[in-house]
Amino acid sequence: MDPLWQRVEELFYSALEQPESEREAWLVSQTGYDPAVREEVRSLLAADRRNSALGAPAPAAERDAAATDGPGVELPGPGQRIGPYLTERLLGSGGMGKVYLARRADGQFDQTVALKVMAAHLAGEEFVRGFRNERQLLAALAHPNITRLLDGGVASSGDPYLVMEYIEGRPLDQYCAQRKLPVEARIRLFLQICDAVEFAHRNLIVHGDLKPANVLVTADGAVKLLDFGTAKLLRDPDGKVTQFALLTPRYASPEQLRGELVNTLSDVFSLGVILYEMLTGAWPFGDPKSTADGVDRVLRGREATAPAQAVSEDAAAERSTSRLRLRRQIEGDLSTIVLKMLEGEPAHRYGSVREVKEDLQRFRQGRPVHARPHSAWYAARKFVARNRLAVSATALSVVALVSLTIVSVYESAQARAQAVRAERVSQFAEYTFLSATSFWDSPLRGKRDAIQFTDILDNAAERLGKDLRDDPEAEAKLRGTLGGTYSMLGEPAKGERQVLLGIRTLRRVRNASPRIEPMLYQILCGALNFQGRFAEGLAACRQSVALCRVGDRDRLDGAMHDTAYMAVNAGEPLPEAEKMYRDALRIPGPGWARFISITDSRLGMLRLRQGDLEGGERLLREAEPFLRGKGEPLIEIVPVLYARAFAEDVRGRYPEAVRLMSEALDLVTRRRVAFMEPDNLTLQLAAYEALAGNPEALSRLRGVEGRLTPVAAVDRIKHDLYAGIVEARCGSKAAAERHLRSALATQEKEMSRQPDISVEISVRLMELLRASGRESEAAQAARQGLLAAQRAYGSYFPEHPFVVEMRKSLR
Amino acid sequence: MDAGTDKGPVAGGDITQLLRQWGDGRDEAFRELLSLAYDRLRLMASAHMRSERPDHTLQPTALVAELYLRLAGAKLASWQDREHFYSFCARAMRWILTDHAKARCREKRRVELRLPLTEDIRWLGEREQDTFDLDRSLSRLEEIDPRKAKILELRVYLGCTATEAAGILNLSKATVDRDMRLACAWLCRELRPER
Repeated sequence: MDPLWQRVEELFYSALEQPESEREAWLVSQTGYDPAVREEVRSLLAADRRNSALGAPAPAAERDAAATDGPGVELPGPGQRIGPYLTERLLGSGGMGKVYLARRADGQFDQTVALKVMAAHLAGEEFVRGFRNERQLLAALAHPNITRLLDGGVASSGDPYLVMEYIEGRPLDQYCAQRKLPVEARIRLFLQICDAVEFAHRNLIVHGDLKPANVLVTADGAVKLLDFGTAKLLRDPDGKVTQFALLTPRYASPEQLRGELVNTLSDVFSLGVILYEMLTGAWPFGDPKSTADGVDRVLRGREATAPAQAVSEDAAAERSTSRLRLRRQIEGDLSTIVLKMLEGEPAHRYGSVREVKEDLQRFRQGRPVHARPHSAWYAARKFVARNRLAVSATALSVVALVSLTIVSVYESAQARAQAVRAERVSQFAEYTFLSATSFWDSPLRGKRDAIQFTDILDNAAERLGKDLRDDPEAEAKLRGTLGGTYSMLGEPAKGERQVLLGIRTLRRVRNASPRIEPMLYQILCGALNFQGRFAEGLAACRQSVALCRVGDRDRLDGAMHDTAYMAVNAGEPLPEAEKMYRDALRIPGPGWARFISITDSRLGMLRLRQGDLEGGERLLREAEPFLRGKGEPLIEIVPVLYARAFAEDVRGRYPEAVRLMSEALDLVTRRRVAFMEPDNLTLQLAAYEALAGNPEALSRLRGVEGRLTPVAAVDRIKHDLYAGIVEARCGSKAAAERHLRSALATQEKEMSRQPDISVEISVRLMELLRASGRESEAAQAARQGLLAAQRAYGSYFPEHPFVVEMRKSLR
Repeated sequence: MDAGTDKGPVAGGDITQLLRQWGDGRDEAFRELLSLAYDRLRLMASAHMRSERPDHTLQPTALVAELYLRLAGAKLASWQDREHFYSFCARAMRWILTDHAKARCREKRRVELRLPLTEDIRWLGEREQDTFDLDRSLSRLEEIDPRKAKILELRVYLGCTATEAAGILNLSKATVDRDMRLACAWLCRELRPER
């Protein structure tokens, strides 16, 4: 059976065991960033619900009142009587029911109304119950911009219906497009929407499904909000909010997509998407047709495309202006306002719709707005970019996987909805972020550069023990999160300390979730990795693998992958690392396609290093398309690029190696990945440039040399090797020899179990010595290199270019 | 593995041989089996075609057993033979009913079919298109998960209960129930997509 289908099947059955309201969040926590599997399972779960709803008899209560229609009947057509109403024509139909134009059949009032029939058998009992509870409150929601709810009941078919004021109007997007409204008019319309939503919020009602189709505009330009029928109360008597899988992903906030509680800030996000579209005509997260990609982007907390960038010629025409003008109108404050609404983290958005409104009004009056383009988080990111720790350029996947773990654990913590804990955790997180924002309002403001995000974390770390004193499990988990964040920010020592505290705290908990401890060790291994302490990191990884085996098989593949990665850095034999990677591939886990590609790229590098150029390049070719993706590549493409560059180097095709390394360096510099050190890549690039005969390699080397102080053996060796190559071709031959000999010594002393490293060093040393006419010493280097090649490649690859070159020189 | 596979068509009513060949993947064996059993099966199928609900009056599993006795003149030798025969009958029903629906459509007459015989998917058969779509979806499901397809085929076309299907396929009833749930969801998604 197809392994992917097998995984879908497992998830499907396990999801059915979760309580209905938690299923979505659970699913997200299980599938991580594998939207394809998630979508498949989600659609099957939805179909399962439909299947039982279509087949099941109507709920008993409704059936009593019903003139007994069979199950699965179609909703009534026009000319039907529903309660005291007579339908006249169908106005529209959606996933959950149909809307008719109707009037009262008993002639009590002569009023045309919109009658919305919900398909009860599609909605399920839970929905019907919620619907009844809320009807009363919604009826009181009297606002000029909100369609009034007039009546409601249960039809003889058992389907509940809502009666609303009938509005003759057009959906927002159509209205704007048809009239070619300029930006100013659009903002005026949007302010009306804000009025309505703000009013609802004050009445403790969140809309939860704001979208242009739910906003009607009448001929005289009055906005009417529809569909508070699916809205939820902020306060539910049981404190439980039921989730209906109704929301429109295109306008949903990340927290909604994760299946978390919906609140007023989710509405702010949806309003943000609406405003963005009104202004630019584009969806903030890419191509709206591939919502899945965009949703993934929303979930990953990626930023929205800068509004001015999203503007097209057509969009400008639809706003009665030119592209250039439209861009100028949107740039600056307006952009800042929209982007603040679209922040992934709720705490970074506007605190209320009122604040949005006020800022927009300030903008219209030409006064300075309150939103600032540099949120605390943004500044933190910039800070990270400025304070990158010198880490091995290869130190990559560990953090990628660890951060994935953090997110998932955090999500599943909420999904499990252990109410108190989840709430406390979020309170804590909120407090942290709130204090971050208040930081900005403090007198320190203005000294922007003095503020470091790590200060905020320090503050949080200090409070953590106190705030969560009676919940050590939550504390342990958060210490892990904090530790991971520190590491990503370039403070791995602080990260290590937090994780160790977390591990110690966890020991106090009896019956802790078995998923926490392996996660903590995984994060610990990331923190050690950044400090170049690979041997200790390897031990932590092994611990994490052992714990995953018993406690969290879903993370086993990731843990094994990390272990293999760490083993390579720690100088363990390559075949053993290769075996671990292959074992990791056998376990289907979350985010599989991505995982396979990353692991393939690692395996590819290992094959190359063991002399198997063809096999290695084949694996790299397989990994590349997925990592490259359609638009912007995943950052994990970088190791593929330098592995391929290495292969070209071995084959002696230096210009090609230069091209690949430049691409890698460009990506890392442009994306400013906190945990990838561009200086190491620059060094490697300089070496290939030197080999390709470009004399500028020397100035490139000089540019980074002083900054690098590698700690780990593997990094010291690379530093010496690449510097040696550059010196040999463009600099001082004496310096070159010093570097290469130092590299050889380090390899022998600390990385003797990876003999392949000394093959390349020997080749370069041999070339250097021959160029200086020191033939016998060159032969000595060649013999040493051949010995290493024998150990590294066995006798499998007699055609290996390095081997051939050294043999030739001995003849 | 089976000596019969190499022999080509089997003479007479050696249905067990044919069944084994079909089970081993020789597709022509299906046609040969069908020609042997066609009349009886068509009679059973006609109950579906007249929009009756045969599940109350006829017991398909009993009928299939009887059919086998007539054809083979022997008790069903092993459970594999039994499985093959029931699976064959279900496949034959599927073939006959889909074929019938196609013919009706060509003649521009309404397809009146009563499907399925199982309570798990009551909505199935309410739309005229369902007979074709079901056939197509089953073929797709066969590719990714043959066991579920087989269970669904037995339950839908032959009206086997979960227990009967479990007995025929030598599975536990729990497994059949479990498989049915996903299979039904799959079918619902294919035939009744959202919106």
